[in-house]
Amino acid sequence: MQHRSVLSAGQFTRHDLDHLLALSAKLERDLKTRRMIPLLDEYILATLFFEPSTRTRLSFESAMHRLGGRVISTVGVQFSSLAKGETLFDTLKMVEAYSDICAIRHPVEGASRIAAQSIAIPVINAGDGAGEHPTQALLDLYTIEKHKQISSRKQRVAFIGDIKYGRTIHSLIQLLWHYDTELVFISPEELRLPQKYREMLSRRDIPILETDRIAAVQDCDVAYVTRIQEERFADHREYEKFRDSYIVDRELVECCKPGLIVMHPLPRLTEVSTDIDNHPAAVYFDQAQNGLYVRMALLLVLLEVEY
Amino acid sequence: MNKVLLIRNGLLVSSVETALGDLLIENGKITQVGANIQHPDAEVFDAAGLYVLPGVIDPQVHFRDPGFPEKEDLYTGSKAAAAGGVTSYFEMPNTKPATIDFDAMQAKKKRAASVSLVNYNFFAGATASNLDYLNTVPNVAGIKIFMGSSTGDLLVADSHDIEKIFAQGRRLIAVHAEDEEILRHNKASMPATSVFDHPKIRSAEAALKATQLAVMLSKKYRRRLHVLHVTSGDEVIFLAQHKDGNISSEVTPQHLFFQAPEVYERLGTFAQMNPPIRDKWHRDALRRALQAGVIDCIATDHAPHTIAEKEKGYPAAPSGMPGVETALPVMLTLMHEGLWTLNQVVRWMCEMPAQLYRVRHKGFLAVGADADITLIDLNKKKTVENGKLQTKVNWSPYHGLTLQGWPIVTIVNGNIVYREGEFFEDIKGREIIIDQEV
Repeated sequence: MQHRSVLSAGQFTRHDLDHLLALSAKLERDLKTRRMIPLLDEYILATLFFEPSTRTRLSFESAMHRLGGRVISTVGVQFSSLAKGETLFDTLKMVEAYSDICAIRHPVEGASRIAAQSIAIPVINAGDGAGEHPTQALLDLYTIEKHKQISSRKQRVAFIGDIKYGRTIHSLIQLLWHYDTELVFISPEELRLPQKYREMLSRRDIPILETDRIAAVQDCDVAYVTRIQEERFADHREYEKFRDSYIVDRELVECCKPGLIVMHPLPRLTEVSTDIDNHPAAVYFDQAQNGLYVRMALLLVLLEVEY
Repeated sequence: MNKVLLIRNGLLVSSVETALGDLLIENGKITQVGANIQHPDAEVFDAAGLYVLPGVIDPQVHFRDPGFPEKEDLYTGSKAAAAGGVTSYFEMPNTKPATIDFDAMQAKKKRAASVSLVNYNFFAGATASNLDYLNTVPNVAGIKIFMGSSTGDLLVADSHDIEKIFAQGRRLIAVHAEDEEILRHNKASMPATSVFDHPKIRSAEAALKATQLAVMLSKKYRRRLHVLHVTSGDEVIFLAQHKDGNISSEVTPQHLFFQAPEVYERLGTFAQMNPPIRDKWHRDALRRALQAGVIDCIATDHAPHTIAEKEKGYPAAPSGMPGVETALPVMLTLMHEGLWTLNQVVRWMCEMPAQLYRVRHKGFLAVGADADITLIDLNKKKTVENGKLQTKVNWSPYHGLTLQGWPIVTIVNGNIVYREGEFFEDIKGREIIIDQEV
């Protein structure tokens, strides 16, 4: 990989992705028979979470532990010296001294880029505000590859819900454009794809369909569902109407193309009905678990440890 | 009527199993089901190699009687039904006069009793002002609302009038769901020069909007709703998300079989119907929805118009096509293509219509059930030909196509009505009894 940090999904080449997917698959396979793959026993990961995210933080920490490494972390800004008025820069310089790699989540867009410029150790963006969430995008891609083999077969991927603010969507599309794919964006008019991404996709000749009709999901191979948040709407009734219009349930899945997979970055509210949790189409729990393998692969690659 | 009929060694089919067995019929009822049934006085019918189905129930036909004798009447329509293995039908109210009052309903039933070869009942047609009739006319299939205009002038397009019907009474409401406002807007703003424009004018959006309104009203008033002929993937997904125990729906064989634009290239205005046949995307959605149980049953919407009328070109030609005679063979042909099983066909064409409409004693081959039975040769191939049909208009959208799986014998109330091309017309069908909502 060119960069020694992971800041944006846009930084990856197809070659990087092929390598990361293969490595993740190998780790997943090997972890079926082993509990630990102790390649990083001389390394320390710092997880700096300036906003809450149990799932992502635990997944990073578990990934490091499974590789035999150590973890130091700060959870909740109130416990850190940031609360005493220390700048992000000063905090990072301390972290640089104590660890070999760091994963950072911060409410401000671009925070991880500033971090990477401030310190010499690799930085992994674990979500920065409304910006990007590249490791989520990688685990999403890995999930699509695992279930639908997107590297060898064209896949029609539907994004359902909040296309405007959904940062996992914005990151994932920057990976998907390396593949043979068609993208279908299903959302209320108010929550459509930002123009920036529409242009990016058009430059890369990725066919897209934008619609408010949930019915468009029927001939897709992947349904990537996201939460529609109430605060995006001025009117509570509008919110309720949209929330109920974009629900994916068992009957809907059974009306779709056979083999469809339903993904969700979790946590969910009602947009994916629990009545498909045991349906073969529902891969969102597997998707969450895949975060472990993908983050293990990233730690190995960034620390330049062969496996 | 009082004779005893023993159907021997047939393959008895239900939605859950297919089993070799005998059926004993006495006084128009099934009195025994099992192996090696013996009866000293029974006339024995050897059904070896044949499949024995509960009589097919077609819950949506237009037999045009009274008012349009050039198109169809209750005699020819019921004869076409018998030839198609259909032992019961529900007929629609857009006749002339329309079935919108007690007298018209009584006249229809009286006429059917004297000419219909198979069992019958009728829908009460809704207008903006006949609520009393809709809720009190005895023993009918349900209330029919045309939310969008089609053949005839029966139409309740105003959503307040539609709501009034949902708000009062308990009887099943069946809707032709196309939004009249969208239809009018499209007619005014779009070209209508060829039949290819038909599905654009009568858009999936129009169907969806009306279905949404009907579903919303059904939920608001907890009213039993049946969505007639679902035709779009959009309605399918909406129903998948919102259907509850009070709501059911149907699809026609032609919407499962044909697709645009090919069907319009081949048949022109003869393929024109309301709501229209749409493209493959919609057709595939309908096939999956039926499998998924989002669509509950099959109905033909048998809606004959004469060849001369259909040749008038678009948009002058009337919408509708015949189908009661070919529905079962079409569904069996698609079964041979691997789309579904015979048990599923029985579920969608026999059991579910009986269940959804609360039909008493029909839909199942069980002791105590009415002896309405369809015997089929699952492998028989026959080419559909215009001029060789029972429907008065004597054409079919399947003309020239070879269908596989045909009814051999149709039994209504224990009497053989149809047997390999021959009709036995002395005994007529009966009024179907609908169990009222409690």
